[in-house]
Amino acid sequence: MDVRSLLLFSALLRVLLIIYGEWQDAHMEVRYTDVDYLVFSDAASLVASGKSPYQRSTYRYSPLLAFLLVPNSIIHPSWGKFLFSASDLLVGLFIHTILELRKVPENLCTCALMVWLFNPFTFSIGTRGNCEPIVCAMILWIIICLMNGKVLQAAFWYGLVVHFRIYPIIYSIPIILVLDPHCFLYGLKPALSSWVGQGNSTQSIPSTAVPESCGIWIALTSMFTRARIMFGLISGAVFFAFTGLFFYLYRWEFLHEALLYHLTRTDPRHNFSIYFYHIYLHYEHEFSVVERLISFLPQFLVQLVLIVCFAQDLPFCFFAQTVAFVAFNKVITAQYFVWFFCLLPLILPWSNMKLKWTGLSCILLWMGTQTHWLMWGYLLEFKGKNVFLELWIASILFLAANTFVLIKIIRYHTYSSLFQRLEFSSSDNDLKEGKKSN
Amino acid sequence: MPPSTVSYHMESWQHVQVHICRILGIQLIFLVGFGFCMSSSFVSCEFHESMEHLLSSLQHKNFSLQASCPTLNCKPLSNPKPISLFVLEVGGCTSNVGSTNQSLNIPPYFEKHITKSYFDKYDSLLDSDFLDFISHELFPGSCELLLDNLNLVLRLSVQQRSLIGDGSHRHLSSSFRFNIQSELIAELPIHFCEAIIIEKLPYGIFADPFELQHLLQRGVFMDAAVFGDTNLELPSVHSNRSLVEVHMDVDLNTFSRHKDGLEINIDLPLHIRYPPLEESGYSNIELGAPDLFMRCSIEAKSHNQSCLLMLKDNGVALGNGPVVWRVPSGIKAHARAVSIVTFISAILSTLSIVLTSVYYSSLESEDGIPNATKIIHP
Repeated sequence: MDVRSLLLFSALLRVLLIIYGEWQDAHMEVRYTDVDYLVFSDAASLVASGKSPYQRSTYRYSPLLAFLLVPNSIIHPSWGKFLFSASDLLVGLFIHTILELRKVPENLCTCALMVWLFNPFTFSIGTRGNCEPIVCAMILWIIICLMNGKVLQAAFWYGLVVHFRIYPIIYSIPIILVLDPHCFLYGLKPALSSWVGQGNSTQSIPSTAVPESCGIWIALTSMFTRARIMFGLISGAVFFAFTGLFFYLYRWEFLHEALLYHLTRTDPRHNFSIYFYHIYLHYEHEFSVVERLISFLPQFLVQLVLIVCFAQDLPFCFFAQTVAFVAFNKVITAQYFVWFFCLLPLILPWSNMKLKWTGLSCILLWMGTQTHWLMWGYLLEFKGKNVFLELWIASILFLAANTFVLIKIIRYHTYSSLFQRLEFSSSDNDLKEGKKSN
Repeated sequence: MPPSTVSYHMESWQHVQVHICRILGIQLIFLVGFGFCMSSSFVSCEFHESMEHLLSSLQHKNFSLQASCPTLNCKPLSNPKPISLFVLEVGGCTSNVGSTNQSLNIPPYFEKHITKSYFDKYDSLLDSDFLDFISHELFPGSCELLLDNLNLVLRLSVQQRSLIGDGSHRHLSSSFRFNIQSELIAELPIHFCEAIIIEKLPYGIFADPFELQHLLQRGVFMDAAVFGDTNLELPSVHSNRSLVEVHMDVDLNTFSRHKDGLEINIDLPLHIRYPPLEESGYSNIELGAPDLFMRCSIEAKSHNQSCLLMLKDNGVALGNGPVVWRVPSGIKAHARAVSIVTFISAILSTLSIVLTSVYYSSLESEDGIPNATKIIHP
């Protein structure tokens, strides 16, 4: 099945699901549409009538999202769902582009693409009206821009995506590190390292074909390069420009709801995070600074180590960081899983993991612990049984499953730098293995 | 279900079924209470006249009534006299053309939602404050008539009240019945009436205003609003009480045809906040009785007038006792163990990931030296 027909089929599936969703909303008690979609739509209709979207309680996103959904009140209430599903398909296209740029064989490309397009999480999230596919599309576009040497464009989109959703801030350091002057020169298209075949370790391949990995120490000694400085400045400027603009329009409400809420959120209501019961049991008294620091430390440490070890293999670093970020976060909801599902196809061609039985055991363990948690959650929320302890233990098991899966993925991954090391000839400053960017 | 940002279901259950049979008594109560209400300084006594006419044929029933009539100088009788059947002698409402409005503010009973102004004046919902609000704001003293001993035609019974469902999202089902004498629905120029039900929700229970809006769009209620603490996410400890005001349409035309009376059924979806910690692991939250009002508007010569009545139950009918919601709550005794095990788990996970990353990234690099430790010879 070629890519075009795959995308067409996926598009059809999503259109059918949106139509079905509309039918279910109208005819059944349980809605297909996500509650968040109604929040966005209400905020968008407030914007359409010239008011602040933050008048809608629980709207905790950038006003950009409300602006994007203004056609919900003008054209059709499903406009947003079509937009998100289109972003979903765009993510698929970008995955294919990235893998092609890295010269992955066609069949592996297609398989990896199907992992995204036919993942039930993915197609249901866009068709239910969740805005995460837009964020995923932007992240992948940033990777493509970097691969094409377009630093300014990457910086713009990076500033925008951090404004939209705060979590991509964790990618800032790996991106800065990957703009290594020995691999990446400002204004030139970098040389990408190609896929070299599953199962082959780097040692077995002749050195001319295998790039030298760009070491951390080089990065540290030559930290301030033009590419890095430009990236930092432009992305920072874009972020502050959007934040400043919306602060001018909507004042402190915007700042509290769209930014500060996410940074200080401690939600005691049950969710996948291991911290929820601890937060509920201690909610009556405020958390001390020490307590907050202790709960932040595992997250910080894991992110740091992952960056230091894997930064040069950018897609893999993003993936590992996202999995760890979600697993150690104080609040985990199902929509956060899409953040790493969109990066999974980018690393699969480099994974030595066989589906039987390691791959299957990872999938089953992850799904199993999730289902186990959901069972206790159902008993608590819909049957009114006191199963807080059991639910909390289920969330610890879920963390254990996440850790196991991440460890397995690291274990079976063939580390491969995104960029090849550039070689300079001193006489005429020509670059071998470098191409001019467009 | 996987929680989303607002972690409870918004499911609408079944349609509220409103069977409106008769509203005679409502009009009679209205008449019997006193005159009429207006939005200007005019007083019309035509209503009073028709009321007098009807009073003679009222039948006694056990009931008490409080009614309000703004901007009128209506003198209440010092001893309201119970007269047989429907007769209720009220104070005289004199024509008072030229009297000015006492205040420039719209009285609460004229607002679309009568309890909205409660939260303008008070920060939080306290039963005592609410009683004060009812007696002093909704019913200004100048026209207050308390008719305790009168037997009136309108019998109100709160037939049943129950919580339907399990878990954190349930429906409060309430049923109210009014019995009215059919011959008393004479040609009163009554425009329309609406029943107003005020549910004062205790700590820990809340109604979702968006869910109510959805029900409104489907025509389940005539109007519905939530006042007070409408935060959907905070636990009990950090939240305040709220109040739900529901308006149900009362059909004048069908009222006379049914001898059983008018029945109003309300199905209100409610949700629970996380309760404070309990040793037993469960928290019992009690839902008090609702406050019932009737607001009718009357056509007068020059303009419409509307009047607000409060319907009290004389304790007859609350059949199945107070409604209690049993909610699971966290157990304080778990706190220490939970914190320790949570942090140990986090630390163990962290260590596993850190060690794996360092080990495998060193394997992956060409010369076996971890990427992170290349210092001198890159």
